[in-house]
Amino acid sequence: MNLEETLYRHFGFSTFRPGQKEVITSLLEGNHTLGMLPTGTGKSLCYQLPAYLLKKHVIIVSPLLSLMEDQAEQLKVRGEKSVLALNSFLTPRQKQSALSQLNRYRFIFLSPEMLMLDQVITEVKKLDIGLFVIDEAHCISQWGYDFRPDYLHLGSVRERLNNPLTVALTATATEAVRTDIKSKLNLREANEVVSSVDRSNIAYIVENFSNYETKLTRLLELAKEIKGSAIIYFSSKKTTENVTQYLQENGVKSIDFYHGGMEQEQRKLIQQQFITGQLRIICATSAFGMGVNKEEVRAVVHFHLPVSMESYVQEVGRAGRDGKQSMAVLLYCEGDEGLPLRLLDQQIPEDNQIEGVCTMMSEQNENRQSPEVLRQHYSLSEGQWNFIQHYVKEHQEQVEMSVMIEQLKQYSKTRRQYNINRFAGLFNWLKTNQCRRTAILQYFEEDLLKPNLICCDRCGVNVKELTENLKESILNPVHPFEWKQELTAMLVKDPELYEK
Amino acid sequence: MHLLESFKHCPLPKDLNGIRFRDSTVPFWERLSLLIQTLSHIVHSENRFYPIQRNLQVQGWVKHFLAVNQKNRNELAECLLSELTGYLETREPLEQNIFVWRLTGNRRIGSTYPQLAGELKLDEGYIRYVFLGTLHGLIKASMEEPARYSILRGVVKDLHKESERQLTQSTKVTLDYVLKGMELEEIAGFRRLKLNTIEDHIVEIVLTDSSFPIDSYVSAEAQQRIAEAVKSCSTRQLTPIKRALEDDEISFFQIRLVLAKSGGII
Ligand SMILES: Nc1ncnc2c1ncn2[C@@H]1O[C@H](COP(=O)(O)OP(=O)(O)OP(=O)(O)O)[C@@H](O)[C@H]1O
Ligand SMILES: [Mg+2]
Ligand SMILES: [Zn+2]
Repeated sequence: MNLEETLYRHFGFSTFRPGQKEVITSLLEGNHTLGMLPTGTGKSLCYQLPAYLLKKHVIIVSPLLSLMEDQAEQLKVRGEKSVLALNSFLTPRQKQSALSQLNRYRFIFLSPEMLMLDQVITEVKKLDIGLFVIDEAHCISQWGYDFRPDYLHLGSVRERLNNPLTVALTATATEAVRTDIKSKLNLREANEVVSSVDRSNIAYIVENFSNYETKLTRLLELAKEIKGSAIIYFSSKKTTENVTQYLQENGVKSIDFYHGGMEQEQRKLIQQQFITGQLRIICATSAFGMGVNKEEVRAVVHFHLPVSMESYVQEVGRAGRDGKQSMAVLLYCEGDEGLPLRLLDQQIPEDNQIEGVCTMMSEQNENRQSPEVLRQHYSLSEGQWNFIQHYVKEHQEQVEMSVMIEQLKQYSKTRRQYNINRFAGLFNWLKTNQCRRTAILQYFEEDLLKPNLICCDRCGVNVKELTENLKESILNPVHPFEWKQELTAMLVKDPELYEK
Repeated sequence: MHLLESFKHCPLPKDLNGIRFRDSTVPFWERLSLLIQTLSHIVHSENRFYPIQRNLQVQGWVKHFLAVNQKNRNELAECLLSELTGYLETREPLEQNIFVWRLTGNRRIGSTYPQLAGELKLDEGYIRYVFLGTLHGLIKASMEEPARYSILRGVVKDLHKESERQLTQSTKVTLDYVLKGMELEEIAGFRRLKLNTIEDHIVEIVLTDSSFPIDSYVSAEAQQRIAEAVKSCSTRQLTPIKRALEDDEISFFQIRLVLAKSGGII
């Protein structure tokens, strides 16, 4: 049976998308592989299909709990029963029981923290591992976007698991980041399959405003104008809620918000409402997106500026997963750069915070403060706190505290500068007179292969024309019936025939 | 504050009984909502859907419940429908709609609280309150009339055991009186038991449910001081703690309550 047949049999697709077949072939030939495939085009398939051919266990490392849950769930919904997501959501009892029967599962999702526990390694080691998958592999590089310190240990984890066949997947990695990924994972000899980051079915549009009010008015207009589903991204929870309310009050229907501060059940409801089309537009922070697989999102709108080109590309990548024409609209108002810069700054500790926390951490027992107290006392954000914690944990044994403090200050300074430079990458793109698509590709050190007819605002595309050409049916709003009728419709196939 | 304000004009739901049902309400709702979603899809011959409840324990429970149930799925769904309808018919119209609109079926995903608040033009906090009252009433009904609510009874059964199982019979009686608002002395007098015994019951209740409020027995300030004394003595023995407090106003009972509530962590 050839690969296409296997694809059709297990997934019902008749052709591979760019890069998929190359990654899979490389893996089946026994090569470690680094795959860079555009956002939303099917990286998961690169490990799911081989799983059925290798007939061994597949271990998947994912950076975010919610992402991992979503992916495990998507596999289950597709009918795959043999899926386990081992993460800190489980109760200790559930964890124990799952660990003791790991070999029952074909797909085992693990968070990097889990893989740092000896007990977990011991159990995983007993398995015949066919493939070790590192999803969102850019998280391992300090120079990639969304660096996750826990990912750094994956190199030694691989070694402890006796170097299983490995695939690292990402959508956004410059060449430097790809080299870094390979070196951190001890995969210097790995094959690289790099497809273009370009998403040819997404048109890029930037609109400029001179003040907040006009930008807001324009958003309202857009929300009414855009046909089909859309995601509007914000960088602050408060604004997400306020703007949603504003849009609702001004007549936008089937719209609601989603952010990380909401209760789990409420979040899940909103997410499902969006996926099933009950909601047409979702206003969200970047907490929404990763792992949410909705194929027919027609537009991604940015009300705030993302912090880097990489985040921008990831976020707009939620659009057009079905391959149909879609658009990314960024609304920019002079001064908007303040917010992302502030957010970036809040991730990195200040010199006095470093001195204070480190000195207090090195105190002898009786003066030692609890982490909570320390955090409050120096008003550290979660990001700043993790930053310090992680650095201290890694270096504490190598150097004296006073030396370490100086090093940490230096490191913070480097990171801060680095973040600013990266934001500058996005900002330059925003201000460029050049074709936006070309500029994105240039950022990722690629050449544009062929010109795109529906390209970007610099190439003469605008939202109005685009929406007029979108062949999107208007969704019928789903209203609940009166309670008894609703409940009956829910639980009885043919309510007409149902008699009490 | 605005929440309380709005409650003035809205009647409090009957059957709201947070202390009694606190531990079982959330799991009850998780089970019931997922059971209904699952049945709804099965009945409409759709076998793929995203479970609205993520908790694996809850998913496992629903699977198990369906596996051991003898009835065919359509029958089961109809029975559940008639139990729910029967119960809801005894409730206010507002409660009926809130409850049903929170549910997810094959046609529609349930509404969030803010969505209901918008739809019904009511305060979100009030909606939550009313909904909770409906759940409590439903739990109570299915415990009191198991014959009438046989399926719902199956949903609650082991949950309720879980939360009150550990309490001795006599303590349960004391709990009932406490929930009716009686003072400890009153309960002792009424039951012809020593005050000490009733106090033991209260400590037992707090030990099994650390979220049980103890503020009416120990002031917040005294709790604070006791906690400090415990820390400074680094012991959980009562006598040294009492000595360290240097305050005759603080009783052994109060120290025990604070210890019980802390569950060993101070
Ligand atoms: N060969 C294919 N033909 C058609 N559809 C496909 C193919 N491969 C994957 N898909 C679909 O593409 C969608 C996106 O897949 P997937 O979630 O794996 O993307 P991804 O690259 O991991 O995205 P992200 O950038 O969000 O991580 C899914 O709905 C999947 O079913
Ligand atoms: Mg992915
Ligand atoms: Zn262009």
